[in-house]
Amino acid sequence: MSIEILPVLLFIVPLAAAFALYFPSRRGNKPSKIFTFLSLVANLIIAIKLFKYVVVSGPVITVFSKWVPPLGINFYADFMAVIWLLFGNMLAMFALFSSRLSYTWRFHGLILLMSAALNGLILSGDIFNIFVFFEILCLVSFALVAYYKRKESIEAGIKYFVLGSVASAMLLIAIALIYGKAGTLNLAGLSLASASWPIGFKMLVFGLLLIGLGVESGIFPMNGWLFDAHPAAPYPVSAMLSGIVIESSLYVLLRVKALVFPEPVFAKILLLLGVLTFVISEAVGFFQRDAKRLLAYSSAGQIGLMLIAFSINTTFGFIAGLLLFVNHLLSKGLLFISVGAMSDRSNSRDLNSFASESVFADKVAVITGGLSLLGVPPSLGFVGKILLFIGLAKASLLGVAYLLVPFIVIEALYIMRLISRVYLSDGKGHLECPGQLVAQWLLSLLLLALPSIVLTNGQLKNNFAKKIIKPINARQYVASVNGLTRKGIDG
Amino acid sequence: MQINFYTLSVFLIVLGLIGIFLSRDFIKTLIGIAVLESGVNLLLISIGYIDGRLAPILFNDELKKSAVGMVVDPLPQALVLTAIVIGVGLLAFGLAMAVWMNNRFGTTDVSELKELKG
Repeated sequence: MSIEILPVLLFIVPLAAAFALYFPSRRGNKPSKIFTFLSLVANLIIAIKLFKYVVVSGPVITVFSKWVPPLGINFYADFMAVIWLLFGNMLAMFALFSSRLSYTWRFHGLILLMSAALNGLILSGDIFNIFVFFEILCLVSFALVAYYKRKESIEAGIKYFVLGSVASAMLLIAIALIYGKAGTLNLAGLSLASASWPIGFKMLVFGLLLIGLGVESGIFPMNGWLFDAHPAAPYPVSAMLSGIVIESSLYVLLRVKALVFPEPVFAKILLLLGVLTFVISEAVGFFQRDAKRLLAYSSAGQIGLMLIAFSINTTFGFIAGLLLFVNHLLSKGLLFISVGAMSDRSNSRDLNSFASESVFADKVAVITGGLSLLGVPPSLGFVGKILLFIGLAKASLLGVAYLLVPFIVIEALYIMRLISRVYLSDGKGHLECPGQLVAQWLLSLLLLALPSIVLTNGQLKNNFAKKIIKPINARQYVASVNGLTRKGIDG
Repeated sequence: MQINFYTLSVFLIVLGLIGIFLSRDFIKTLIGIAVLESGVNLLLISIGYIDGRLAPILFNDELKKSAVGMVVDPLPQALVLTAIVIGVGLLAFGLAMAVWMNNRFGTTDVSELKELKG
């Protein structure tokens, strides 16, 4: 089996499983959940294989039906993409595993479709396929947010739906303009063609793309849906929305920006938006009384931090962004699973009463997740934030770093409030689904073990710092796409 | 009178956006979304349109060899087909949501949604 098939399988396996779900689902919720879990495990195994291959021997490019870029469709998995794929699929698996048994096959099918759309979105190498996967992702997310069909979830779903539809229309307008100017939709072709575009046209297209992808990734002026959708969704969905959905839209935005809009002015716009997102979300989040809504504000804040880290455009910023992403995915996934499960049990999301039915595992999970989200020293969040500050200092943006510090303290204050509520609860609730317990323990363990794996493994560290992680460069990307596809076709 | 397709599509897009953000009824918002999508599709298809040429329907081998100079750009038409299908899916889901909303709230007036604050 050649390695080029792996990215395709990552998209095909969950899609096929979503349709095959019909057969196990007729026997009830449990077989349906087991089947979904097994297909997500298969996905995770494929993602691990792809990750290992890409770390050792460079990007994998899959070309469909032998049309060489700039024509045709291709999947492109580079180092950044496989990190997103590995942890995204891992979170999908944990989120499903922790889900309650009362969720029906509709929930399982939508989770599978969401996983397929996420993998496709991250891998896709041309901008129209990005639009298609983005649309699948939007539709699935609307449906999952409104899953309970309560008043609150329908309202959140409608808000999300209206904003998402406008966003996708803006994305399509940008695609139409890009095609009219360049005559190609392939990212490699576009990165060559865009060098000669006038700056005004670039600004227009970038603005449209920013609206289109920014809504889904929760960047400041467009993130109003996020604070309603996260609390209203079932807790595994909140974990996925916050841990991987908004980040993968951010990833697509960063990739298109790096390849098609390399001018420093666009990085400055993203930096400004990142700072605004972080500052405003943390400031508003401090006053929340609703535990899940508080976590949603913290998610928007972390997105702001990642945006700042990636738009510094140096190696330090890049590594900081990756670490912040991994840390946020694992810790926020863990927090949403535990806090959501607790508030489902006690039937309240109020900060004072949501933890009344907690169990011991919840306490461990919330403490581990919360502290590593804040960046208490041995955690990945700490390394990420330190590297972010070093990166900002090296890019002579120390003013931004000074601005961030008080808001990091504010985030620490309200997350500590959440932790203290859970820690001081009596811890005598009873559990309805053992999967949740297992997911919590495994995620906590992973969060505790990852810093020591990343920081002490010499080989990994050398590869990370020296060879693999570099800011994406348009010329390298084009060279690797063209070079590898030629080789693939001749061979 | 010669119709400029670009002007028409921009007009439809603006009309759709106005409809989405100014109407209080969710059904009207959905109509706004439909108008917006039509505008975007018209923009996409007029970008591939070349004045005086034929539709790219190539039904025999001879046409396939000689058609390059005679037909309009076929790619935007393929893209628009995809976009129309996606748009229909989106609208169908929106209408389903309108039904749920009507069942829960007894109205499709968006200003009645006051469960969530902020």
